[in-house]
Amino acid sequence: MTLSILPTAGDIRTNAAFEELMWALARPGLERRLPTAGFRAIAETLIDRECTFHAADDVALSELLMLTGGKPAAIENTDYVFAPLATAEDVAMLSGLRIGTLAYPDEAATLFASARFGAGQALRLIGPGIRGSLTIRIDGVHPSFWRMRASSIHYPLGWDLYVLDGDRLIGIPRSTKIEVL
Amino acid sequence: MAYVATRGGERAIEQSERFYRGDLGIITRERVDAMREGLPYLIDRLMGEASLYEPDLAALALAQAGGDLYEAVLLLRAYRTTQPRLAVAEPVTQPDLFTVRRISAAFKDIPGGQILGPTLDYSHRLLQVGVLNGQNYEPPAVEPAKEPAPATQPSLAAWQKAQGLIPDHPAQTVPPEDIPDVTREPLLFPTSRAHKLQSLARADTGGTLALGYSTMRGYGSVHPTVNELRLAEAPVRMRHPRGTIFSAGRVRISQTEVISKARELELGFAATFGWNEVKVIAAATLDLASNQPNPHPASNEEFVLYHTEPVEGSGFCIHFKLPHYVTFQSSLDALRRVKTDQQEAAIAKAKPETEMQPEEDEVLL
Amino acid sequence: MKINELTKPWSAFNYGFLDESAKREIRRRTLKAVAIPGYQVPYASRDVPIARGWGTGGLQVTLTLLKPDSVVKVIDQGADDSVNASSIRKFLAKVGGATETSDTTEATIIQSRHRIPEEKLREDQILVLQVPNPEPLRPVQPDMSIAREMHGDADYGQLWLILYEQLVRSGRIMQGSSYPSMVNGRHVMTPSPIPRWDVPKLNQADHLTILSAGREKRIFAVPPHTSVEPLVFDDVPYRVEDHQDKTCYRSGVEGFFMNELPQDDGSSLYELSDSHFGIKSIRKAEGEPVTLGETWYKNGRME
Repeated sequence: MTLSILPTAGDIRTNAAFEELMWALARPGLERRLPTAGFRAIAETLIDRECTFHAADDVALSELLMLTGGKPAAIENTDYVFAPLATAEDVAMLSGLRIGTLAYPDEAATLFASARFGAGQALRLIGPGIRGSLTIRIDGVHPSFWRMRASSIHYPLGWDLYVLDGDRLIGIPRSTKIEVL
Repeated sequence: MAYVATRGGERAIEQSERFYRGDLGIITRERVDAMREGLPYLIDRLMGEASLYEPDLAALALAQAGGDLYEAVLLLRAYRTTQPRLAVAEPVTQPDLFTVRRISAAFKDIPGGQILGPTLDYSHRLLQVGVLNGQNYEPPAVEPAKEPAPATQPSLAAWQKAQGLIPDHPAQTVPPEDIPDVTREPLLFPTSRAHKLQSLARADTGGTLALGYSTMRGYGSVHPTVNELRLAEAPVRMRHPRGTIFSAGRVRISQTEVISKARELELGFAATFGWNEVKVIAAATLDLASNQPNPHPASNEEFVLYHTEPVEGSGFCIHFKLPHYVTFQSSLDALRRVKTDQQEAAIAKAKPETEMQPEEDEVLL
Repeated sequence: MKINELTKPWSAFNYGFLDESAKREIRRRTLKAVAIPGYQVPYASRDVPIARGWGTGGLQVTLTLLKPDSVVKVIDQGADDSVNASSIRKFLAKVGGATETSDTTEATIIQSRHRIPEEKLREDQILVLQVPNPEPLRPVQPDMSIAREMHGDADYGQLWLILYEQLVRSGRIMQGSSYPSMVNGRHVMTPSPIPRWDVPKLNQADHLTILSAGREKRIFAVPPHTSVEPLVFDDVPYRVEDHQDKTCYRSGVEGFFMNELPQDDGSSLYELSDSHFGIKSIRKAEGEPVTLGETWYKNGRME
């Protein structure tokens, strides 16, 4: 039996997307580039019938996520949350994100949100994966979000964040401390 | 380039594999068929531990491994892991089983009757050495009973529950897709009922026996009585995407309930693919023991489930053949350093007195 | 709808051997491991076609990371030609189309058992360490569920105690390899059975390290620029193996981790444990155009 196998187009896409997702968390704040813009590549790379998701009121995204076999669920019980961060109301919706338990801090949510990079609020990041400190600018996120994040993370309890701008991706794990400048 | 000359690893592993396979000779369809037909209980044991019910593949694995069971289980598991999951079969309850053997030690007779079925339990274990001299051993034919036993049987535990003898745990209604699957999720403790029974179902027969036997013998508070043991063929029923339920065939299974009186009558349960009575009796006993407060490791579910995993246990055992000279070097360094320290200390101490200290000599040894 | 519409066309194996659902699970767990450095994330750990205890954990991670343009180096005890390392490297090439290399500087993924190469890993490289026992608390608590609670509470008192007892009994901390280390100031991890020589290479490194125990079903990680501190007492410094002044009898190179080769006359010879670093050093000495990467240790000392 021959084992020489070529990757399918799907294999190539999901392997590439995973590598970007991984490096984004390993080097918080540094921009990575997904193989395609938007949440689709992320969904097919991570989510399947073993996962739950929450996509706020985004019907098109919900339908896309349903195709992965993932199950929609309330925010409090969800692995993967896709949500806007533009208004104070958006942010208030996210106060119940899962932060895991001390024995299983990995049983926590991952939040995916859209924003614009390179303008707006300046943030100074420190923590694992960052040499010294790193300052980035993110626009389109309501200021209350960063306060909410700071108060809900009690490391190692907490949730991990990915911010998307088209096909550009920034990861901010719970281990990153953010100073709002 | 002295280093390069030592790089014989790849050729060596290729040749050693050839050596092994050469000893086994050519594997033919006939050899595989002969194993499947002649060794059904071994095939059953293998399919149970591999959690893959496919007698042809099990026989092939056995042939390829030359009968090394742990190798054969690994072959089947590595194949199994690549197969897509298409659907989840409908649940099977005891009255659904096409039962060929059903024994209860708890009662002389039970509703539905005891069915002895095929067994060597009461046979005299005598080798038919004539076979080696060319006299075929032809077992006498079975004389059919006047009335065949019914194909399906009620559950004895259901009768006991109705009598209030054992507590009834209401069946959980879990969608088939949501039943935890230990082959796709890590085993964590305290474990779910599903993970525990699945782990026991694919546990090593020998390991299950060793630990189960220890609790039976007295390292535990369980004195099991076989409430009901069954060898059966279980119908595999699938739901068609259109909604109709259809039969996809049958699989041989064994299952055992053991019962013990601790505070009240309690059941231990185990089931596995294939007909393997020792395994399910031992596993059901371990299931029962792990619900009792007892400090012995065989009553601790983490101890039992981790250490009866055939692929993990056998793999780790043989991995000690791999080179460990880096870790050894590291330990050696620590030991030597202690020795050097002690020698230096001895010299320092000896200097002012210009005499050896006998105590230090002893330490140096 | 037909049953065969629920699945894709049959093929003997997937690209990278693991099916997509197995890979997705490992991806999800790996991301959590990176987000919580040093914390052991449980994972299903599928069966792979090599025996448990022979690198199944590392193999699953590497298979998940694999792309056709990956360049993989696999070492065991520092050597590329060790039989099990060869076997794993061949498998990666076969099921993933990866390019094989022995040169640390060329590799995109380095899967290793018991060593970290001597040449410094770059920020685009991933080190995958095979882990036999992921639990640094095992000597004080064999029960994994209780050990997990201890990590949750950062309850490392008993671990400190056995190190202290060693110190009192022997005058030294006797831990050889697998030296327990505090990651990001929160979780104690085992760095896998690498020698003490290699542990400082994980501290504030440029590269990403993923540690995976297949049999024990745990995955954990050390991201770049993350603190990894061996557990030591303030007044008893951490000491690596006394190899700084040993000379490799083959290459003449000095100041790296060595294999000791006992001789008939009772003495010992030493050779570089990082075998390809040794080969390159010999070639360079013979005038070949070989580039040696920057090393972590210089003159037998870590910077």
